[in-house]
Order: sequence, then structure tokens, then C-alpha cells
Amino acid sequence: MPTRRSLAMLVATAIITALMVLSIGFLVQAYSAYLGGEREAALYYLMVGLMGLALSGYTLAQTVLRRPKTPKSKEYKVHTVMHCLRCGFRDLRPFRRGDYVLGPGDNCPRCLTPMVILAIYREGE
Amino acid sequence: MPATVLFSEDLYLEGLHMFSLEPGLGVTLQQVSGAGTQGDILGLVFQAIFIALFLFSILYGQKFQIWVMLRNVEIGLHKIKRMRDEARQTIIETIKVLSNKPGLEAEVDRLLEYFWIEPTSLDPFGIVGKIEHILDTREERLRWEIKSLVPGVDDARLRNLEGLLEAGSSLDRIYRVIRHYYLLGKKTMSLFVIYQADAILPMVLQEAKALSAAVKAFRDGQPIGDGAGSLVAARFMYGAEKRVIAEDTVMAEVEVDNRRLIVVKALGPGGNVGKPGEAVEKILGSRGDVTAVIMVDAALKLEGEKVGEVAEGVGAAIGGIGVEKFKIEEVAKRFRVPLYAVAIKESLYDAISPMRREIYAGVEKAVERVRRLIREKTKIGDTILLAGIGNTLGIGQ
Ligand SMILES: [Zn+2]
Repeated sequence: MPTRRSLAMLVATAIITALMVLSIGFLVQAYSAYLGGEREAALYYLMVGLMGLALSGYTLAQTVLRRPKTPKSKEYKVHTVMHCLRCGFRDLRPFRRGDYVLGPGDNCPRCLTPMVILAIYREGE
Repeated sequence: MPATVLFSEDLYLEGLHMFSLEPGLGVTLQQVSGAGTQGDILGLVFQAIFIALFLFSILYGQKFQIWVMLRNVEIGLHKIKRMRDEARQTIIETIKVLSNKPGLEAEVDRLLEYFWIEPTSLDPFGIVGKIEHILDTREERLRWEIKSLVPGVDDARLRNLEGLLEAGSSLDRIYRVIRHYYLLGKKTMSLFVIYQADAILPMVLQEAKALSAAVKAFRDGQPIGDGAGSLVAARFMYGAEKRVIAEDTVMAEVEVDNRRLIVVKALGPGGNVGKPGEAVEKILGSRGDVTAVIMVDAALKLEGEKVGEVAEGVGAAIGGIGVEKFKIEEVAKRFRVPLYAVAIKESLYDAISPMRREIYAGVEKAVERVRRLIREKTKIGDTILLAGIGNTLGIGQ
């Protein structure tokens, strides 16, 4: 039910935003009260304003902005390592379908005999 | 007038008196109650809303938490669904290349839901045989189905398709279970149901990711981390004459440090695990000269342990449901042959995704470890059985 979910989301966001605006309003009031010489009232407004700001900020961080932490889809490259049994030459190239370990690889560039696939592994996460 | 009322009235008056002693606080209270001399209506509205919100957060705070968790589960569920759909698509595309049968998608869906029922353990005597029988039937049936979908498929590809279907069906099952808990939680709004689903979600997501990597590996025929044990055995076998000793299982005899080494592994490069238990049983039963059994397998590492680390111990190093393990332990006990184990450590993700370079390095180390074990634990002229355990996908011999 995507519509219902987005509605609930909208309501939650609206409430949190309202709370935030209110808190900022309190802070402004605190400032004007302080200028007017009402120091106790200023303190009271400041307290309430900060509390509201903390509450709304925390809720916002917990819900609206929160996305489950998931590492990006793991990117990796698979390589095929080939080894020439005659001259000891080693070669590494990207994996091709049909490659298998201890199966036949490409021809050795040095002595032109077929190399054997020594390993197939991936690098990166 | 009753005394109590009088008493409280006194207190009330005293309270007012107290407030009048504190002129600053008195002003604040007047503002709170809205009777401020400046007519601070805006402040009154602010405070009323603020108090309402505060009460709301106290009364409905838990509901809100539940809602947050439910949302979290929902996001996870969508991710798993995407992975499942991708896996299904991969399976269908892979089979489509090989077959042009109509109604392929429905067939694949049917195979993805294929289940098996564990035999009862109320009377556990002989349960291993029962499990084996059921799993054999399942495998036979699955292969038959694949063959009927893709007529004339070669053995290696058949095994890979089987692995592909198995990974896809595990993903499908994970999706169904999480969806069940999500919907149940939504229906009952039970904190405990939702909490449990939310709590296991990170692990489930990790497993789902591993399974999607497995699907790709089986599609392309790339060796997976679980094949580390098979690769060690393949290294010892290379170039020697092989023969099939049990279903999908090959053996070869080689000479290492003046000892006779019988090497067993699953038949590659198709995605096989073979029947190492049966192979070890046959070899130990048919020849009385085996003095030690060495098993090499990939083992699940703990968090904090390094991938590709090699560890040594005793016992039957083999995972799975336990049928093969049971057979190997039985026969080793019967012939009083010591079981040595070499383990290559990796995570669950590593085990079913394409083999990491670190695991390959672990394989090289394990080969050396096996050689040392042979030198240290056996005498010249001995016969030793080496079993490389694991899925031999993409690994020949
Ligand atoms: Zn060469």
C-alpha cells in the first residue's frame, strides 16, 4: 500500500516540521523576552524551545531521514590466472564463460603451448 | 466544612503566598496560564500545541516506534523481493538460451517452490538413511525436471542449473518468510513479531545478497568459496588417472613424499558436491591399508577472523545436513583410522559467491599444510586418504 504509507509519512513529516517551527518560535520569543528584560521568561522559553528542537530533530533523524544501512551492491571482477607448464609463464585476464580451474587456457604467448588455468578468483569486496 | 477541605485550602493559599514571594516565577506562570499582562496569545497557542505534542509522544511513542520498525522491515522486504525477482529472471534467461519450451516461466516458478520434508526425529534411529533417501529422491526429481526442460543438456551444465535453481529457491523461501512476518506484524501490530523481524533483518539481507551472488556464479560457472576444499584435492589429483568411485565423485592415486595418497573430490567442473561419505566408505572398506584420513573443507569464520586463514584439527571436516559426515565418522571409527581436518576460513557470503583471492591464497597454504601433515603424521610407505570437500563448481581435476 504505497499511498497509505506515503500519507502516514506526510503526516509524520508535517508534525515534526510543526514542532520544529514551534521550537524556533519559542527561541525567538526567548530572545525578545530577554531584550524586554524578562530574564526568567526568556530562560523558560529557551528551555522549551531547545527541548522541542532536540525532540523534533531526533525524531526526524530517526524516521524521515533514516534509510536502513545497506552497503552498496558488492562490485567485483573475476579473473582467470593461467600458467604455462613448459616455461612457467603466468597470465591474468578477465574470466570468460567456459573457463574452469585446471582446465585448458589460452596459448602461451612465449612458447605457444596451451596453458592451464591455475585459479579463478574475484577481487574487490 | 470538613477539615480536610479547609486544610487543602490553606495549602493553596500558602502556595499562592509562596509564588508571590518569587516575582520572576510569578510572571512566568502568568504567561503559562495565558493571563499575561502583555496578552501573549501567540505564546499560549504555542504552549498548548507543544504540550499536546508532548503528550502525544508519551502516549503514542511506542506505536511510533513500531511503525518505524515496520517501515524498516518493509524496506528490507522490497530489497529481498528485488533480489528474488532478479534471480528468477536470471534462471529463466539461462534456461531460455538452452531451450525453447513454451511455458518456461511457469515451470521455473514451480521448481523454485519445490520443497522437501525432513523425516521425523521422534525415533531417531536410522534417520540419516531416511534423510539421504529423501534428498536423493529430490535430487533425482529435480534433475529429471531440468532434463525435461532442457533436453540433451550435458552433465556439467545440468549440475550448474541445479545449483542455480537451488540458490533461487532459497532466495524465494527467504522472501516468503520475511513477507510472512511483515504482514503478520502489520496485521497484529504486535511489538514482538515486528521486533523479531527487524532484529534478524540485517543477517537475512546478508544471506540474500550471498545467494544472489551465488546465482551469478552458477550461471557463469565460476568457482565459489565453498570449493576451496575441492580445489586442494584437485591440486593433488592433477595429471593422475581418475576414476568415478561414487555418484559425481572421483578418486585418483598419487605419490607424495614416498607415500601413497588416494585423493577424493566431487566431479568437476559442474557444480557438484558429490558423495564423499560413500567414497570414503568404499575406499576404507575395500582396502585395509589406509592409515589416516585427511579432510579439507571451507569452514565458516567468526567475525574478526581473517578470510583464507587455515586451521588444523581432528574430526570430519564436512558441512551440510550431516549424511556424509555421519558416514565418514562411522567408517573411520569402524576401521580405527584417525581423521585429520584442515579448514579454510571464510564467511557465509564468501562461501557461495565467486572465490575471493584471499581464499585462493588460503588454498595454496592448505596444500602446504596437507603436505606437512602427511610428513608429520604418517610414515614412508603408508597409504593416506585425502578428501577435498565442497562444491566443485568451476573446478576441474
Ligand atoms: Zn610457455
